Amino acid sequence: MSLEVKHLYKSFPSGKNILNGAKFKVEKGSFTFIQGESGAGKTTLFRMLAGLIKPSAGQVWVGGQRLRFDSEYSLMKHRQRLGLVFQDFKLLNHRSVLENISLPLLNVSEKSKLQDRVHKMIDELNLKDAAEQKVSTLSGGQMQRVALARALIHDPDYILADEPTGNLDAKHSEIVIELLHEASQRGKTVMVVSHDNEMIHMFGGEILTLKEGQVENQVYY
Amino acid sequence: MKTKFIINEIYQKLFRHSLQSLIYICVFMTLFLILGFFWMGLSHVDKIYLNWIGNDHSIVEIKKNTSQVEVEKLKDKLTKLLSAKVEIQDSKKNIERLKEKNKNFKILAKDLDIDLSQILPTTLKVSFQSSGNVEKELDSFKKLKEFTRSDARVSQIYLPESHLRSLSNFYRSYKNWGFSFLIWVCFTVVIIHSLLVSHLLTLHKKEMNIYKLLGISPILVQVPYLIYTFLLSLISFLAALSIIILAQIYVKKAQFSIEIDFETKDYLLFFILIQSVSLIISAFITRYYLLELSDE
Repeated sequence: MSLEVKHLYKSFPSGKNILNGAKFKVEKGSFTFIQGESGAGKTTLFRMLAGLIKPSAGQVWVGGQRLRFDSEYSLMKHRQRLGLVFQDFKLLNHRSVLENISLPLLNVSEKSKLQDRVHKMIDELNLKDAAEQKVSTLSGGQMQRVALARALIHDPDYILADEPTGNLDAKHSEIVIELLHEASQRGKTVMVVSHDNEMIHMFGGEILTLKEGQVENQVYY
Repeated sequence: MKTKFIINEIYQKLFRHSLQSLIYICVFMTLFLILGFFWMGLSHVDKIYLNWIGNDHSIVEIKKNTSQVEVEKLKDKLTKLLSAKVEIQDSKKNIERLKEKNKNFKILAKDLDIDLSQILPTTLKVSFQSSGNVEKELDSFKKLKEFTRSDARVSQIYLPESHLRSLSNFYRSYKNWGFSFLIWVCFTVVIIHSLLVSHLLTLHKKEMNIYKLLGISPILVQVPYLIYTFLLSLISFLAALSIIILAQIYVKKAQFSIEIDFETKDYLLFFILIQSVSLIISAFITRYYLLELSDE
């Protein structure tokens, strides 16, 4: 399941151009870090790949099919195949950890196998004690782990994570990246927006560097 | 799992926004208080009007050959029948009064040598006492009319027609006002309810966006909102119902001459109206506002 973008442009009503013809392709099972300076267009690219914002021009191809930004149904189906981790987590604060993690399972028809994953994931991410707690009572680090668990629970084909280790200590950062790495080894396409160069070099993979809205280079470590 | 999700969502929405629910109740209470003051103000107007109409009087003209004793009997009968002050105005007095009021008539009568006593017979002046009740007042007029028709001693009756007309008009509009009140309550409730539902729904934009970006079907997300709106409409309907019932009790206690009456079909119509408005708003807001992801 490859992921390809062709000449992506995005300009906002304020007149600011965030993406200026970005293009790249990542193959199925790849583990790609997107890096770049602040304002290079990393988050905009992330949101566009998630089908959350429309490009001003250009195309996004997912698994050999062009993503139709004008079709709500097509976007919904696309999002069901994604696991998303946001910088601001986007969790339901009034719901428990367990409920938040289980949300993507609403889209899955065969839940029995995946139900077991919920508890396994909670264990792996050291969230067992907080499982019944409301998300609003958690620390930033715990929230980030809940967001990651929610992104992985339905075994999506693509995982997009925006700064998934931003609020975590070294130990938990390592766990998170390991989980993402494992997913890529199972054939999932993983793209991570990150500033953490040390971690990038530790795990290896592709590095996509963005500069002024364009892909400056795409290298493999 | 989907059913559990829907039930959980409705529960969360109803009980999470306790502050909004409180505002909801406060608005309705304020509405009721305003209504109460309005009723009190109207009862004041009622009394002023009846005092004014009470100063007027009717004239019962008695046939020329009726003896003084018969006139007295007639006066007693009228006094018993009506809660009114009945005064005998004999022919002489009536002639004097007419002469005083109309000097031309005096001259004319003298010139033509007319026996005014033949033209101006004895009359009874009937002044109604203000009962404070429009219906009773009208009833008295009706009784007087029926009495004068059936009694052979009476030749004619002069009702204060213009005032009677005013009274009837007032009475009629007053009756209609009961219906206007109902329409007013219904529409006020529908408008306030719609604004509140719109406000409450917009509070959920963030979580609606989360559902959307997780790829959860919009229909599945909308169902709890529609049920939530239905329940809010039910609360509004019950609040409106309590306002109407309280107003009915108040009107009955204050002994106003109007009735606030609702038939079952009116309640049903009102319920359908409030539900339809709410569900249209809910569907519109969830589809075009809550599920719309920000482009920025």
